[in-house]
Amino acid sequence: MTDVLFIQPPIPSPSRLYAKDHVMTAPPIALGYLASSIIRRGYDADIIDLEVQDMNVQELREVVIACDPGLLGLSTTTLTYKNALRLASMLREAVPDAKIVLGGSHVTFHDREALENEQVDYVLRGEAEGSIASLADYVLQSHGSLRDIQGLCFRKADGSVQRNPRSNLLDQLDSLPYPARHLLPLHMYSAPGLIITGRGCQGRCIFCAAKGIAGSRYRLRSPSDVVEEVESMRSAFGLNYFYFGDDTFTAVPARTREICSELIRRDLNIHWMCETRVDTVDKETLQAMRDAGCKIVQFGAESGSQKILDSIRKGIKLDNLRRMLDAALEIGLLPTCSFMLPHPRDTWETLEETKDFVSELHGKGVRTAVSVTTPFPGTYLSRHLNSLGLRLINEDTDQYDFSTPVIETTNFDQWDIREIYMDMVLLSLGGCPTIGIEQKSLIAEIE
Amino acid sequence: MIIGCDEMNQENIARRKPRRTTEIWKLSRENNTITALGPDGLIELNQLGAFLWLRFDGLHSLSDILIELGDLYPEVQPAQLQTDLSEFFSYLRSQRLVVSTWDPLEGVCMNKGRQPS
Repeated sequence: MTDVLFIQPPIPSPSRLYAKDHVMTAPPIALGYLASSIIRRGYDADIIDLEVQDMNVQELREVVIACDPGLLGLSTTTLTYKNALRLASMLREAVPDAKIVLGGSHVTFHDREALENEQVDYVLRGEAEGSIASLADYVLQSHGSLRDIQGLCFRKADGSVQRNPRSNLLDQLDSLPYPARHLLPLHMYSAPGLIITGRGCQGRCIFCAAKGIAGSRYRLRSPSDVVEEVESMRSAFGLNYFYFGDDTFTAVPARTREICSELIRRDLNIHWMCETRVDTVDKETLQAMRDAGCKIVQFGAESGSQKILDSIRKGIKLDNLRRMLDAALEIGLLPTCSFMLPHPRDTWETLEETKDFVSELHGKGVRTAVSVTTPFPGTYLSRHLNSLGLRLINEDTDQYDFSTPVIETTNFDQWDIREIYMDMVLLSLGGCPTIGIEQKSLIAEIE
Repeated sequence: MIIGCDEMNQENIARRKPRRTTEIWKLSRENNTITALGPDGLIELNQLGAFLWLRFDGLHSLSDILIELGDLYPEVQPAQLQTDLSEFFSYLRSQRLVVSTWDPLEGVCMNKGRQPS
C-alpha cells in the first residue's frame, strides 16, 4: 500500500508518438518535490510518469489498485488537463476510497472549473509542498481542517466551492527536501538531470504565466545547497549532464558565478545547460558558466522585431541579444534561441524581420526553435484577448500543443499561422526536412 | 476494403477516426494542396489528399469521410473511392503521418515497442 500516489498524465497529442524520439524529456520535478514533502511528513509516496513509463490504461489500473493509495495527486498543465480528468474518472472507479487532488499550472487558474468534475475532490493552487502534506494529514489521519490548508479548493457539503487563500510563496527554498528522484524512472528521460535552483520571474512577458504561478520576485537557493544537490544526483544516480531548468538561471549573475565557482571547487567535472534572459547575463558570467561545464545556453528571443518585443513586454533589446550571443559563441558555448509567433501585433513585415534574424543567427551557429503563440491560463494574453485583437478559435485544450493555432490575430488567420509556423520550423531546421535537431540531439552532440 | 482488413473487421474499421500525427503543416490556398512535416520528412499532398488530411483530425470516421468523398465525386464508383481512400490512408500510415484511431489517454499509454495502429 502507498499512502500518496502521484501521477503525471500523458500528453494527449499523437505527435508525441514520434516527437519523444527527438524532443528533450525531463522528469516531472514538481511531483518529485511534492513526494519528498510527503515522505518528510512520514508517509509513503510513489510517482508514475505516464509520459514515459511503459504502461497502458489497464496496466495502470492494476498498478493503482495494488498500491491502494489514500490520496492520488494528478499534475496538470493546460495540455494535459483533460487527460488528468480522464485519468481521475478511471481512478475513481478503480480505487473509490481514494481522494483525488489536482495541482499544477492549469488548475491554479481554473480551480473552480476543475471542481465541477465530480471525480475531482480537491484542487491545490500554486506551490503546494506545504499544503500537500497537510492534505495528506487530513485524508490519511483525519487530522486538521480543510479550511486551514493554504491554496486548497474543495466542494463543501452544500455543493459550493471553498477556495482557501493561496499559500505565501516559500522564501527559504533551501529548507525543501530534494525532489524524490528515486521514485522516478530517470533512465527513461533524455535529460534526467533536471534541477531547479530558484523560483519566480521578474519578467512581464504577456505570453508567460510564470509570474502568476511562482511570483514576480526571485527566490533563490544558496549556491552551496544547489551544488550539494548536484553532487548527490551525481553520486546517487550517476548523472553527469545537468539541466538547470529555472526560468532564469542567471537571475542574479553574482549568485550564478558563485554556483559555478562551487562546481569547479568541488571538481565535479559535469556538463550542463540552462535557460537565461539576455538582460540578466553578462560576458563574465557566461565565461564562468563555460568554465564550470556549461555547454548550452537557451535565450528567449521570441521575435526578431524590436517593435514586437516591446509590444509583448519582453524587456530585451535585440542589439543586446546579438552581443550576448556573440559573446557566448566566442567563449565556446552553444547558444539556442526560442521564438514564438505570431504575436498580437505581428505583421508580415515584422515576421520577415524575425525570419531574417533567425537566418542571421543560423549563420553564426546559433540554434533556434519556434512555437505557436498560445494563450495559456494565467497570462496577460489570455486575459486580454479582445483588447489585443485576438480571437479564440479553439478551446479544446488537448490541442494546446504549441503547434496548433488556437487563436487568430488581427493580421493572421489560422491558415496564415500554420504557414508561417511551418516556414519557421523549416528555417530553424536549417532547411533539413527532418524533425530531430531539438535539444535532445544537442545533448547527444556534446556528450 | 478499407486498410486491408478482412470483412469481419470492416464495420469496426469504418468507425475508426484517423488522426494525423503532426501539426506542422500548411495549406496552400492558391491550389488547395498541403505540405506536411512528418517524422520522416516533408510530404506534399494534392487537392484530394489535402481534403482527406483535413479530415484526419480524430473527429471524422472513415465511413463519414467516404460519404463526403461520394458527394464530392458522384461520378466515381463507391468501391473505387473506398479503394482510393484505403490506399491513401495506408500510404500516410507507412509515412507515420497518421494513426487509424486515437484515444488521448489509451493511445499515449501504449506499450513501448508496440507500433501505433
